[in-house]
Amino acid sequence: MKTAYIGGIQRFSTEDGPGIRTNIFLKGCPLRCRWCHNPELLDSHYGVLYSPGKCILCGECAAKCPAGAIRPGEGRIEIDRSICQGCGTCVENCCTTALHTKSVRYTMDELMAVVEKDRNFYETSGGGVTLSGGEVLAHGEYALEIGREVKKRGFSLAIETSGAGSWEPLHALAEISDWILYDLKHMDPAQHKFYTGVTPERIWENLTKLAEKPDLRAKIIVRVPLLHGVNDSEENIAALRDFVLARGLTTANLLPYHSMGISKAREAGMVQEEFETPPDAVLSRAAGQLRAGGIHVTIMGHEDDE
Amino acid sequence: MKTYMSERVAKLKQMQNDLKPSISAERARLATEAIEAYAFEPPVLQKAYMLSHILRNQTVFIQDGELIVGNQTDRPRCAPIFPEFNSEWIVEEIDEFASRKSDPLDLRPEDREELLRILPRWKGKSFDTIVEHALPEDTKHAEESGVMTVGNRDCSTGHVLPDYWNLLKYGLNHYKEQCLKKIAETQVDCQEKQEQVDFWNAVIIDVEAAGAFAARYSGLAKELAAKESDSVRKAELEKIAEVCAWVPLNAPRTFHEALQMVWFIHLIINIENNGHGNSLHRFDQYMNPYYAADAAAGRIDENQAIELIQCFFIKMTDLMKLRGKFYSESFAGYPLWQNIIVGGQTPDGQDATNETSFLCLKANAGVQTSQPTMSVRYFDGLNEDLIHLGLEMIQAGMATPAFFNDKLVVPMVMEKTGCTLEEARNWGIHGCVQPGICGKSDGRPTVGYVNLLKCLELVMHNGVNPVNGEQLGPKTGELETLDTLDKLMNALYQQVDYFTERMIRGFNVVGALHAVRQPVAFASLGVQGCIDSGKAAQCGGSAYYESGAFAVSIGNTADAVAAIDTLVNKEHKFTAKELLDVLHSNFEGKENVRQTLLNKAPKYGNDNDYVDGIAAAIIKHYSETLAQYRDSRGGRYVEVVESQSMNVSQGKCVLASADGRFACAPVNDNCSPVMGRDISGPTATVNSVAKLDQKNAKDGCLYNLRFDPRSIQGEKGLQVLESVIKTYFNNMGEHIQINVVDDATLRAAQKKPEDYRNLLVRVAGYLAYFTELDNDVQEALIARTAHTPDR
Repeated sequence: MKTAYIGGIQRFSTEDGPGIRTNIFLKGCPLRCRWCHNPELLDSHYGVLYSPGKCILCGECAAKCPAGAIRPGEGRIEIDRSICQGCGTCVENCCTTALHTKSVRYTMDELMAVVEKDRNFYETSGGGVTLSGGEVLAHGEYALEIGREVKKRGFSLAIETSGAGSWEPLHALAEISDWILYDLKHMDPAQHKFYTGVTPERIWENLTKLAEKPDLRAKIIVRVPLLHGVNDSEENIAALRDFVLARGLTTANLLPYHSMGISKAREAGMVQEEFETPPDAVLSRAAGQLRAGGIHVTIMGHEDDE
Repeated sequence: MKTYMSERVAKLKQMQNDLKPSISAERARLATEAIEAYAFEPPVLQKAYMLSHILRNQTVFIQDGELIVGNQTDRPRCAPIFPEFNSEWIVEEIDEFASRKSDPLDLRPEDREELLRILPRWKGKSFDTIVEHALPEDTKHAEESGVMTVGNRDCSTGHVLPDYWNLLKYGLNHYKEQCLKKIAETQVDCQEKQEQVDFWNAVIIDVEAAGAFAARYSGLAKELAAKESDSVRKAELEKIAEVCAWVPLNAPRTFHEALQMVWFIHLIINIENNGHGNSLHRFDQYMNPYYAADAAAGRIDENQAIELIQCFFIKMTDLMKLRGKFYSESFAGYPLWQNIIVGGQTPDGQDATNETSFLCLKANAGVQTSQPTMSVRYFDGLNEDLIHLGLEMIQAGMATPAFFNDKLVVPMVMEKTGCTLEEARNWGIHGCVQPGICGKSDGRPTVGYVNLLKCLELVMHNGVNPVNGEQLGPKTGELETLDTLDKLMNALYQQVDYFTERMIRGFNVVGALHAVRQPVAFASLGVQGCIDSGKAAQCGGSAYYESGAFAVSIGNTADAVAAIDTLVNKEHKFTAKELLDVLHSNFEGKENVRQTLLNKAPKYGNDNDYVDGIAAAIIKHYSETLAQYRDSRGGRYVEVVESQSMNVSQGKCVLASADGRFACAPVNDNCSPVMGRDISGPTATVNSVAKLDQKNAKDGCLYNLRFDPRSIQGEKGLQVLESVIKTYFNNMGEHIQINVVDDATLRAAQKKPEDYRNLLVRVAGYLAYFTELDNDVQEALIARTAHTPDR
């Protein structure tokens, strides 16, 4: 069984499916959305993250790094990621957690031990487990194994996916899931490619095929990250509405852009550009357009437009 | 959410908010006159005559718009003085009250002058001084180091749970008749019987004085009515005159009369003695018959009832208490812990929710005064709408109500008192989280506070107090010899036991002195057992009694033990000696060691079984130690995990600790994890706190949880809150209170306090206006981790 790095397990997640949930993030994603809010989970190999605000410049990491990839900088340390071997020695020896990682391997038992801790909360809130990423389909087989284990233990399962992957694992995951949170980023293929690095054909085709099966269709919640001037135009939302309705889908969740990804990217040694959050008026207009078509719309999981 | 507050109530509240709390000399003067006139009487009668003299002579006033009347002293929001309990430190601190940081109180020059005339006459005679002389030397010595405190020395025992069902059913005259009958039936032939007769006579004097007090309000209302030109207000004053002519001596006939009667009794208890924690407990249960009858007869509608209750809450907030420097910091925010708890079960296990349960929450939501402390008693069959209303209030950021768990508390009350299931189901809260049987228990959660982290500091120094180098505790071995968790814990237990024993020996002296010198008849008359036995509650007259001892700094202590065990004993990151050196220097130049202590050993509050287990083991051990002792009345000692703001004062006497805490910094509040260290989300924290195995803390565990408002918006937010509370209770947590307020708001309130005078926060078992709190306490509140989604 090929496993993958787990890029964090977030308990008390309230925005990714019903109730109180535990999110399991799988590291690695085929898309390169410019606004990605989990940029530290883009690639699937080991990565060191660095938060200079926590660093006390004790020098322990530089002294212990076997590759000599760390050197003191101006009020911070500098990591030469081109020679970092991903051994984790610096993380292990960092007393402040300024150096940390979201590349951790778990055995299935370890993973389930964390999931089990909030069993009571799932039961009293109608929550469960959400598999997210990165992209779950980047590790379809592993995701499926985790999903089966979650279901075996009687928990509700949701998957959050960009749909950018092979049909077989997606289909298998969809079958065992209770909720499928399916992202649609842009309705114009060229724009889609420009902003996410991939063309949308396979994503759309996968969604179309899922929606053809009534039992799967009922599980689908379309999720749209909304960025001002990128995909919140009247035209794009209209296209989105038509696309969703044509497939018999009835629920959409709008996720207004936030800039959290920028600082996370910085921690991972990358640079992310800043986008604009849609103004309230635009958000209302977009939600209104979808609702006019009979789609049930929530914004960040809430019924209101606040 | 929609709330209701009438114009009248808004005005009364504004008037109250505009007042600066103050101190008055009036009660000190009257008490002194009485004690000089009745010095020949035994204490129980001295005190009755004193109460009578005060009630017949203190200033009475009715403020414009008031519907419920009765004032504690000659001015609103003003603390009376109880020279029988304290005098010397009042004289010493007299010029600091107005300017002190925590809970300042204004003092007029004429009151100051009068106090300086009266109080020196009490020198050496006030209760606190007498206790001071009587306490064992080793107890006092230990207390000076901050390792524990012995409580209840500067005020009466308080924490009364009066039997309001019978008080309302019969009226006070009935209690006087009972006592007359008892006296007539008693042939005195021994000391005990004479003492019973004295007690019954004291009750009779108190009842008559209460009647006279009410009659003065009736007369005043009549006078004011005669002069009143506004016809509406005139009618109100005439009504007040009529109500006060009837209650509290006679059984009330309407909701208004019942409410006025409860206020008179509660008020007189607070004039008679300065004990805090006097409870209104199951207000919805004893008041609802009056509301239901009035509503059925068309005499009252919902908003009228809410208005009356809000007038009552404003009166409750009017009560004030003068505390000295130490307790004004340790109990910050002028608290009196006046509790009302709604919902819960009837004695036969049915849902007890009624119309008045809803009225209480609605009145609370509308007026938002700092008193009373409002709670909901949760059990699986509780009315869903009541739960929902409570959750909506929390979501709206009102920081009220708190929730309590019947599933844990009912069996716990049975176990600690030996009462029946039916009696246990009638529990209410006195103090912050201490459950007692309404109308029957005299709980005394005032034993003292054991500072667990200071005990651990003594373990690390073989019993020597590192602050001054003296041998304070037993020699439990040098730190390097305590190289396993078992050895470390055993040493800690020995220190805890040693100081618990000293605390209890001290408190039994205090308890015995209360019985002999300060028995209070009025507060006792409503507690079942006292009139039957002819004994005040202080003397063991109540049907049930126990005493509660506090444990402070459980979070820091568990974290520090885990850090020593993990980093010194198991991983050898540094030696015991190196650790001690770093702690002695307060981490000077050793921030890396502090960071290692903070980050490389598990912390309580993150659902880690190892460190949570250490915390639970300490709680269990302390409870077992307490169980070996009996209080001055023969009652059990039980544990409560709670700090109020003692976490700030008890932190001040502990040097840097092995959990990475700086010297003198506050320790964790109540049973919450150390501020800012519960970083695995609220579900993990809630699980950790529930793992304390709270059935061992039979006087309760106080748990504060703070949410950022963003994390609990909308319907989903209500569902999240409900799930958190239900899960905590399924896992046998006792109590949870939730603050919903973001850091930005609290910071803004610090910068512009005048714009945030209304901002209520839960400090511990009580609400306080945030801007009235001392800066250190404000900082401690802000540092409590606000749980928010990670994105």
